[in-house]
Amino acid sequence: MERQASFGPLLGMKALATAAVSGVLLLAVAEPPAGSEADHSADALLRRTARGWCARYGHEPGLQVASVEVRFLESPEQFSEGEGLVVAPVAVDVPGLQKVVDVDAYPPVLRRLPAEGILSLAWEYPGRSNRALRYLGLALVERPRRSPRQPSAQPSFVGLQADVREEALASVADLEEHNLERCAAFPDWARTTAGEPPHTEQLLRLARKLADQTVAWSEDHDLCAAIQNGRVSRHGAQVLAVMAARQVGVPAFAFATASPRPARLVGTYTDQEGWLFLDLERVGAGYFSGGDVLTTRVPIIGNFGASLESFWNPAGAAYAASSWSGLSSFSQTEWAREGAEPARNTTTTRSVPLVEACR
Amino acid sequence: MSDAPSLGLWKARTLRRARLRDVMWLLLVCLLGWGSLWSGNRARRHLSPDGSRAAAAALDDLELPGALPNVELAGDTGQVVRLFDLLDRPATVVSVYAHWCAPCQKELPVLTGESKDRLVVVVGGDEDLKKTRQGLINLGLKDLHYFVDTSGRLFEQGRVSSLPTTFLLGRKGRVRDRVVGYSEFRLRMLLTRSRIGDG
Repeated sequence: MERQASFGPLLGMKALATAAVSGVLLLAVAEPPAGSEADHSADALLRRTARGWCARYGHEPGLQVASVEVRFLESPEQFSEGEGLVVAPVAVDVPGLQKVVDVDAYPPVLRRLPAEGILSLAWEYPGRSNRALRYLGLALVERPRRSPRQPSAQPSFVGLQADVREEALASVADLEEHNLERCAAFPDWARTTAGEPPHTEQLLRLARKLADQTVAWSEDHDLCAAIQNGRVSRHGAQVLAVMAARQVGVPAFAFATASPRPARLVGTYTDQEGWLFLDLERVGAGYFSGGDVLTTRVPIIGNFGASLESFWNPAGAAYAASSWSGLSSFSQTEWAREGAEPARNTTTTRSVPLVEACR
Repeated sequence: MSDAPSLGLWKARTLRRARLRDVMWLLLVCLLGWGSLWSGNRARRHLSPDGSRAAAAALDDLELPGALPNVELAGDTGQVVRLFDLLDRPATVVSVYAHWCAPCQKELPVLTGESKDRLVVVVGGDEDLKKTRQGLINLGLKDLHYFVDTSGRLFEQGRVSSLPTTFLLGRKGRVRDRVVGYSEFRLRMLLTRSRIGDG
């Protein structure tokens, strides 16, 4: 009886100690508690930031919030061990087209990296052990809503600023873009496909032709073969549309947008309507202006080591210095539709009008 | 029978003391455990010291420097000037040159051909000045003056890690553009921007 009576409290103590130590372990190794940024949904973080921006910048109808979310999964097939930087473009500053007003990020960024107008964010990638990593970049951008546009019958582009004009007309020979400067068939293909001016019609013809030839997946290593085979990937179609337009003297850029689906645009300039865009997956909708936030504008003329295919691919990736080529990516993500299957490392994007995000 | 109440009291006291002492120890152990696990977990979320250094170096390479410092430069004729004194136009091209760098020999004639009046040539403080002059003579630029970054600060703060590096600078050293390596088209763009800046 005595022994039983003395063990009761000791057992209680053991239970208490076990519970306390278990609690400590759980607290210490758990993800940050609710309230810290990393554990929130992208939506909640976007709304919280947007409310702050609404208070600071008002409810201007032309303001939009672009969100870029980069996710690395924990699974051994997807996760790459190592340390480095995660870099992702969030928005591009183009005079007369789009202006980046403010930027925010979760977790806080190491640095903001502007390159030829494209603003990228850099975070740390502490991947010494397998675990899910998530990064969210937000940009407040001045850009009008999308509206369909009909180019004038005789468009011109003499008013385009000299350096932008020179850049928008930089040819495959100038930029050695995708090795097209070595493709003997390319100049003829561009001329035949584009046809006669006006330049807005030439770009439209190129876009239509490439839209007809676009397949869900195709090898992009050889665009010269692609134009001869009549099969081109979405990325290849965008490269060819822009570079072929320039080949025939049409000022053009390619753009990626922060849309729920990966959207690849080509744009050209007219003195009458300003910048006009075509969505290469919806060429039938014709030209439009405004719309979702532009994430990148390509081709760039310089080098930016922390980009996938010199920003032709706007997805985020993890980069580290390599001894032979400066920075190189060691873990890439796929530019995916919002809500895409969570079995891959992804970059998802979207644009929300500031007034909506604040509600 | 008579011992039972006193033994119970003794045990009760012992257990009470044990409970207080154990609770104190338990709290201390828990606190230390929590602290070490928390700091370990926190460290796991950030780069290691080596990783941080590598990341900072990579970011410096990626980022266009905001401005170059107003460093003292030694002219090839012996005079000492400050960088900002040479930036007397809205846009000045500053080319970092070396006689041993092959692409620099391609770049300099392009720059002198198009913007000699807007061009400042800088060489590193450890360069052989006789060979530098000979290099310029070989390029047919025997009259071209150059300046030496004796302190190395222009190289350091301009993050000049490979040659040629060419800057387009505003009046107070603001970096408007930078071309690393030789690219004819990029140089053409830089010169176009320098003309717009001047205009």
